[in-house]
Amino acid sequence: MARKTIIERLLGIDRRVVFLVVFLAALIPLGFRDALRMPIKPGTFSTRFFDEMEKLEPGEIVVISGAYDPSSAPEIQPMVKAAARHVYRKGARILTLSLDAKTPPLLERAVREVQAEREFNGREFRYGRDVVHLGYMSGFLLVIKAMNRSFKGTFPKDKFGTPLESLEMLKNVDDFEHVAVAMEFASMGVSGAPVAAGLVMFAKPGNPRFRVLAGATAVMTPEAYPYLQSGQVKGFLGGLKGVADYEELMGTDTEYATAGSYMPSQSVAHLAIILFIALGNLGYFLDRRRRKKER
Amino acid sequence: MKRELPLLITGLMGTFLILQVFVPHPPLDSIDETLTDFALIVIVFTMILGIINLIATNLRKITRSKPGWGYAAITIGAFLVVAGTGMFNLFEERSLKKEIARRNSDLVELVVAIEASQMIADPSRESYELLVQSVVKSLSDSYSMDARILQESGVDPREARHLLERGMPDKARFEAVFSPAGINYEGFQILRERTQTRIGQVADYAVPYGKALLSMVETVQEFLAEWPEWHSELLALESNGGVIPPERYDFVLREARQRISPGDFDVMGRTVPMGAKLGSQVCKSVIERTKTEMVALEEEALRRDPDARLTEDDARAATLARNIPSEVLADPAMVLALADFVSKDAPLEGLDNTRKMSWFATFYLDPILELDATEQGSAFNWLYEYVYYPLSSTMFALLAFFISSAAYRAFRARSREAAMLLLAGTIVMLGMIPLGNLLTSWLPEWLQMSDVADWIMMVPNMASQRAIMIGVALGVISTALKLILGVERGYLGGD
Repeated sequence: MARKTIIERLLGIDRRVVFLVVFLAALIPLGFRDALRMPIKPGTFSTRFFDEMEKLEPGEIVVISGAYDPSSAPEIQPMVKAAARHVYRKGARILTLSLDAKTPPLLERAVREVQAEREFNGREFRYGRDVVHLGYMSGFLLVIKAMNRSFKGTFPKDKFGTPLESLEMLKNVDDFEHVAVAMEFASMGVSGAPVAAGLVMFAKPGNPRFRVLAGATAVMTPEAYPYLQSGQVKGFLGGLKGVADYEELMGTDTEYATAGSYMPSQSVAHLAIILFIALGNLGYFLDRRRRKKER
Repeated sequence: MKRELPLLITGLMGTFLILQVFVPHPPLDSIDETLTDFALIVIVFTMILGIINLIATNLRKITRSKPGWGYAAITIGAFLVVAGTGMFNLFEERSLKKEIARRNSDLVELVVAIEASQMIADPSRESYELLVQSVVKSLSDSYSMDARILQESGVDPREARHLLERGMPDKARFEAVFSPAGINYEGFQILRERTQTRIGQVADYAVPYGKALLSMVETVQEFLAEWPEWHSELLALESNGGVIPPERYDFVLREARQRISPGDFDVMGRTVPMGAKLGSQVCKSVIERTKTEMVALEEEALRRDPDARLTEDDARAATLARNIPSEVLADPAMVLALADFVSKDAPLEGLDNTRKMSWFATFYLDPILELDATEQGSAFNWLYEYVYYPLSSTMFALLAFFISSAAYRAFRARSREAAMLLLAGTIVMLGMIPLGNLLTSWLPEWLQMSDVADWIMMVPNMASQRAIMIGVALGVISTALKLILGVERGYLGGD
C-alpha cells in the first residue's frame, strides 16, 4: 500500500480523530479551570446589561422569561443565575415565566441555587414575596401580549396553583407597569420571532423605568443585534462569553462564577476547531497548487 | 358555502387585526383582547391535535409492523408514562417530600411554628397575631411530643430547633444536624417555602372571616335553640347521601326566614356535627353570604355618610370580601377548615390538642403534601431530571463534534466570498473567547480580537440581519394580504 502524502493526510483526517481531539480539548481544561483562568475583557452589551441591572431599586420587580431546555442549559443557566444574583443583590424581586414547557424546572432551580449561595446567608427569602414562579403558558408571543393587559388574567395561578392575588408580591401588580426590567433568556427564537422580540413588541407600559434585556446562546446572538442597535433591547448576554463578562463585572465569587470557569474549556475547544479548519485549508491550497503544477 | 365561509372569516379577522394595530382604541382594543384569549385557547387545542397525530401515526406503524415499529412503541410508551406522571401524578410514592413528611411530621410542624413566630415579629402583620400565636402554641405542644421522635431518629431536638430558628441554615450545617434522620435539604427547603405561602394566605383570609362567621354562627345557634326540629331535618338529609337536594334546601331556608327576620342570615351555620360534604356545602354558603354582607355593609355606610368610617375590623373584612379569591370558596377543605375554625377553634383557646391539630393539618399539611406534579421529588420531576435532562444534553452536545467535523471538511476558502466568510468566522470564534484578546493584547484596543468581532457583529452582521428581517416581514405582509383577500386558498385544502 502506497504511503499517504502530506496533502492526503491533511485532507483526509479521520472524523474520529476530529471527535477525539475536540473531546479532549473540551475535557482537559475542565480539570485545570483555576490554573487556566484568563483575564476577561467585558464586551459592550454585557456591560450595558450590567449597567441596566445596577439601576434596579430595592423592591422593584424583574420579570425573567425563559425559553430554553436542558440541551442549552449549560449556556443559558449561568445567565439566569447571574441575573437572579444581581436582582437579589439589589434587593429587587423576581417573577419567572416560561414560553417553553421544558423551562420551568430550570428557572426554579436557578433561583433556588442562587438563594442558597454564601453571599445570601442569613437573608430570609420567602416565596410569594421575593420570588414567584408563574410556570409555563402556551401561546408564545401572545402570552406576552395578554400579560401586557393583565398578569392575573393570563396566569390566574402560579406554578403551584396558588392564586396570584394571594401572593404578597403580586397583590398590587397586574401588568408591566409595575415591572422595572423584563428579560428573556432563550436558546431559540420564540415562535419564529427573534430573542426578546415578544417583549419588545408587546410589553408596552407607560412606566419610563421599564427596560428589556436579553440573553441567548451564542448561535442565536446575531439575531439580537438589530434590537440592540435600535435600543429596544438595552443589554444582552451572548453565549457563555457574555455571562463570563457579566460575572466579571459583578465580581462574582469564583465558586459561583460558572461561565468564567468554563471559558478555558471553550477557548481550547474553539482553538482546536480553528486548527482543524486551518489544516483543512492548508491541505486544500497545497492540493490546488499541486494540481496546477501538474496541468 | 363550505369554502366561502372560511374565506369570509379569514378576511374579516385579518382586516380587523390590521385595523387594531393602527387604531388601538375602543372598541377595537377590547375586541382584540377577546381575540387574543381565543387564540391562546385555540393554541392549546393544537397541542391536543398534535398528541392525537403522534398516537395515530405511531399506532399505525405498530399495527402494520412497519420497519422501526419498536421505536414507535417506545415513543407511545414514553408519552403515556410522561403524560401519566405529569397529569395524574402517578407513582407519587417516589415523592421525596411525602417521604420526609411521613417519617418526620414533627419537622413539618416545627417549621410551621418557626415561620409563624417570624411572622409575628413582622410589625406589618400584627393584626394577625392572635391566629399566629395560637398556631405556635398548638405546635409547641406537639413539639414536646415529637421531640422524642426526633431523638429516636438520632437528631438532637434542641440543636435542630436552635439551628432552624435563625432562618434557613446553609446546606452543610443543615445536613450535619439532620442527616442522621435522612432528611434532604432541598426537599425541606421546598416544604418551608410552601408553608410560608400557606400561612400568609390563612392569615390574610381566616381572621376577619372567622370573626364575621362567628357572629353568624351565634345567630344560628340561637335559632337552633328555638327550633330543634331543624337539627334532625339536617341529620336526615345527611343520611340521605350527604347532599342537600335543592328543594329541601329551599324549604329549610324558607322555614328559617320565617322564624328570623329577613336578612339576618341566609343559610344554616355549621354548629352541629355534620358530615364533610354537608358541612362544606353549608359553610360555603355562609362565606358567600358573609362576603356579600361585608361589601354591602361598607357600601351602605358610605352611602349614608361619605365620610363614614367603618370599624377597623369591618373595614378589613369588607376589603378582603371584595378580594377573596373564588378558589378559597371552591376548595372544600378550606371551607371546612374555616368552619372548624369558626365553630370550634376560634379563638383557639381551651381546646384539646387533637382538635387544634386537625385544624392545623387541614390548613397546612394537606396542601403542603399535595404535590405539584412538576415539583422536586415527584415522579415527573424525576423523569425530567434523570431521563430527559441527560438525553437532551447528550443529543445537543453531539452537535459540537459534528460541527467540528463538518467545519473541517466544508469550511474551505474556495472563492473570495468563502475566504471572507472563513476569516469573519474565525475572528468571531476567537472574539468569543478570552484567549482571542490575550493573543492580540499587544495590538491597539480597536484591533483586539473582541473589538473586531464586535464590529463584524455590529456592522456587516446587523446589516444582513436587518435585510433578512425586512425581507421576511415583506413576505409575511404579502402572504397575509393574499390570505385576507382570498387569493391564497391553499389552507382550505383540496385544489
